[in-house]
Amino acid sequence: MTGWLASGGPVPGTPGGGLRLNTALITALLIGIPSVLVAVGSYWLSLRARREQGEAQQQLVDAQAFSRAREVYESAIAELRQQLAELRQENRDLRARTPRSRHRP
Amino acid sequence: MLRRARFLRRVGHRRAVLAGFSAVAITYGAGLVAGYRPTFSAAYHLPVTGFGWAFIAAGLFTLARFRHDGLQYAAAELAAFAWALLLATHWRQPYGWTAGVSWFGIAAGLLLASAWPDAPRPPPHPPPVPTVEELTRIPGDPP
Repeated sequence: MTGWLASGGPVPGTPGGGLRLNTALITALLIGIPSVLVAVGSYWLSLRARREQGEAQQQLVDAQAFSRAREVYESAIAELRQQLAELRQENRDLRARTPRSRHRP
Repeated sequence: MLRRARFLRRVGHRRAVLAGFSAVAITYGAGLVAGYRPTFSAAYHLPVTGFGWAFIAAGLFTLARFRHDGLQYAAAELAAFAWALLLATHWRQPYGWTAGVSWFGIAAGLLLASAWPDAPRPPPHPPPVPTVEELTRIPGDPP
């Protein structure tokens, strides 16, 4: 089979050319069809990789948004605790300075 | 090393693989056009220079910048795998298998790279964390 391929394939119109042309056509199909199938598979894999990349990107954004929200609310809670401690201290100081009778309703 | 890592992060490894294949395909195609012969000089009534121009076209197509690279991977895979199969028909010639195996390897690498998603890009740096006063401030109130 390699002989006629190497020599440029069968020559149309020569004796026996029909059979050789069929052989050439079959070989061409045996080369062409798997190649097209592999190319289509590569295209499909590219589409799937693109979808996975989009999902990974979304997960990264979600993770960073969660981390950011946690940083914000933990900071807010710490600040509120500090303010509450200061208010309690002010309350204790005011109670200490005010006569006891005025505390009671 | 650091520059290369930055380049890959900016371009993405998928496009980097396509750029590598493009360089190989254009160089190989130019060699075929210039007179290099692998194991045969013509196939299917087509001279090897025709395959050389096909390689150059595939290389230029994969070098172009598209929104999605699926068609470019398909074109690269088609060129590499068809060429590998064509070379495999000459495996009985002396050392005829070497070029076929090499191009099968290139085709397998392209197939693996086409299934490999790029790493996600880090989102832009967020603004500083606001204080409680900033969070609870009512618009219009004096600071």
